[in-house]
Amino acid sequence: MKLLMTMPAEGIWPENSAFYADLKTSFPEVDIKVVDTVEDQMKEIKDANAYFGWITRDVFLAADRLQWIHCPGVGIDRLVEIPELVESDVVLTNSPGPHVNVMADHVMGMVVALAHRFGEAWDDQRARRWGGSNYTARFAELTGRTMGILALGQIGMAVAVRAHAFNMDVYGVDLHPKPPTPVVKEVWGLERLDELMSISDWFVVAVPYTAETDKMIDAGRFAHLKEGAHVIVISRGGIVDEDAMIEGLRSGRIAGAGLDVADVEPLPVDSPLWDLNTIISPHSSASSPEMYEGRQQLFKENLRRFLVNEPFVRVCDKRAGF
Amino acid sequence: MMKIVLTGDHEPLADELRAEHVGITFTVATNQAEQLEQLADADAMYGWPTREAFIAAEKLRWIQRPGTGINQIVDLPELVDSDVVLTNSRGPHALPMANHVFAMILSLAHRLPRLIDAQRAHDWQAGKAGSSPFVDLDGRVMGILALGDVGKAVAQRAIGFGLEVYAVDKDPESPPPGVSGLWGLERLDELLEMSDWFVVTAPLTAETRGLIDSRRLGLLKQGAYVVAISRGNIVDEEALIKHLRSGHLAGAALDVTAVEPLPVESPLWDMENVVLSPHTSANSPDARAGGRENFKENLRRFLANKQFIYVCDKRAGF
Repeated sequence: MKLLMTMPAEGIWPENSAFYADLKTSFPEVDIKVVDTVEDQMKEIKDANAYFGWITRDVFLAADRLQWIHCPGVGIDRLVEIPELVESDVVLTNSPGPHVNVMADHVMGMVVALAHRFGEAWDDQRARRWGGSNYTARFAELTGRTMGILALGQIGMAVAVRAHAFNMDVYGVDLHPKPPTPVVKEVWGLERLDELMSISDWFVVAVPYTAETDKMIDAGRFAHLKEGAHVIVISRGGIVDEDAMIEGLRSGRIAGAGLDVADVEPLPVDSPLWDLNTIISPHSSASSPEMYEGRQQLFKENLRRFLVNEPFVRVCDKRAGF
Repeated sequence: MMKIVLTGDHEPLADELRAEHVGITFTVATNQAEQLEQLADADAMYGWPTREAFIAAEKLRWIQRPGTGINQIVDLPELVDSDVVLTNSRGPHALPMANHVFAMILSLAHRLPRLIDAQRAHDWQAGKAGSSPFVDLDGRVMGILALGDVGKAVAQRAIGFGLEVYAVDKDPESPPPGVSGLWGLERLDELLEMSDWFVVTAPLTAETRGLIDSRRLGLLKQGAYVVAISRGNIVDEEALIKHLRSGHLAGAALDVTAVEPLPVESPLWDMENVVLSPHTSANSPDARAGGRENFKENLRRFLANKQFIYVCDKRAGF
């Protein structure tokens, strides 16, 4: 059994070397190859049975014996863009669990930072300026306000738990409507998305990027958003029509936005989003050591199961795209 | 005829009150001279009196403070000794103050200063966490100094993040749902030793002034964070700076400082692991409206001789 591992595409973590060493010790029967360049991957994939990382189409097509791909992240949109992978029998797994808490924290971080104007406060601090009365009555309220969440998967639900602790009224839409929970007042089907936007003071996009959600939040949809609402995008940039969002931010219809993802990443230097009332983070919402540790442990568990033919922790639905 | 003085920019509020309470005089004092003159024959006031004006006030029976903290009372011993009732606005302020605490905590935990600097430079890559990864809140311990209205609201939010919450208070009751422990002040050192996040919501009193000194900061876990939301001078600022510089503490967030505005030469401004806000934590429109509603309600009670809400203990100082 041969396992091909690649370093994460960016943000190389020193923990990785320890992780690879640990895997080699824990699974001596597995031939583990750690490679970096696509060139080396093309060579080593030929007889590999399993792959850890974000595989490219060329590398995938060069594989003869591949049975399993494990994606270290949550979104598999780039992987299911490879039609041959979707058509194949290769099983795709991902790592949602370890990302949940830190991403939900990031969403609430953006919410409270926008609400209490922390971008401005940091500019003041940099200038050694005591802003004092500049902030008078300019914070946005959370208590009793409505948060609408697009998709109540694990991350959406974790956001809901936090928002509920801030006395917010939480509503959501999901592909699979479910009964209300102690923290979510109502969960509707996707067909009620417009209605959700119309009641939302805070609208959170946490849905996977699929053919169905591509540009789902377009100008027509933004027209339904409650006047003066804030928007948070945590899953994928392609779900939101950025031009429409920019227009909304400029007109004031949208009071502010927290964006961890962009349609084009890195966000182009000349994007107007940088200078509007936004907080932008570079697709980094899950940057905690616990997440890295958690996803390593998850992979280890999946590898153990693969070797003894047990079902994986969670298998992706390649056609659904998540 | 009954007379109520409002200090500050409160003409619209005075108009509302005149409409509601016909036959009562409402006057607005916008400076100290006006206050001295108006308060002399006033029955009640909304604001805070100068010592001179308070002493000259012959009929004053009630002061409604628009804010929460009443630590200035130490400069008004005559008020403490008098029969004048003091009420504040702690209820309406607690919610935005607790939200502010989490804006500060998540700014530190998710490296907001780095993000904003990168954003101002339009530099995507510079915002990456890199060598300063985020700090997960789930499963960490939050210690809260004083579990009053603000402390309780902070605790409720903390539980939503999976933090384990402990607190000390002058009058420890049974802990609210989800709070793992509520102890008396005598266990403050123990609380410090177990806290990853230590939040100061206590009022500034003789007892709390300088309470979190260098020794106590030293008890905090290596890599802990300190958040101060109530008043400066409870945490010793010099000692805090020392513990931040040594790396013993990972960061601090302060909405309040020993001297406000924070002097321009304070090292706190430029510390990369310090997040400051200018005593603004309760600045939400609802809280301000709530403070005015609170005053209106207390005014009705005052006129009907009913019990006030949010009465302060003048001797205790909160």
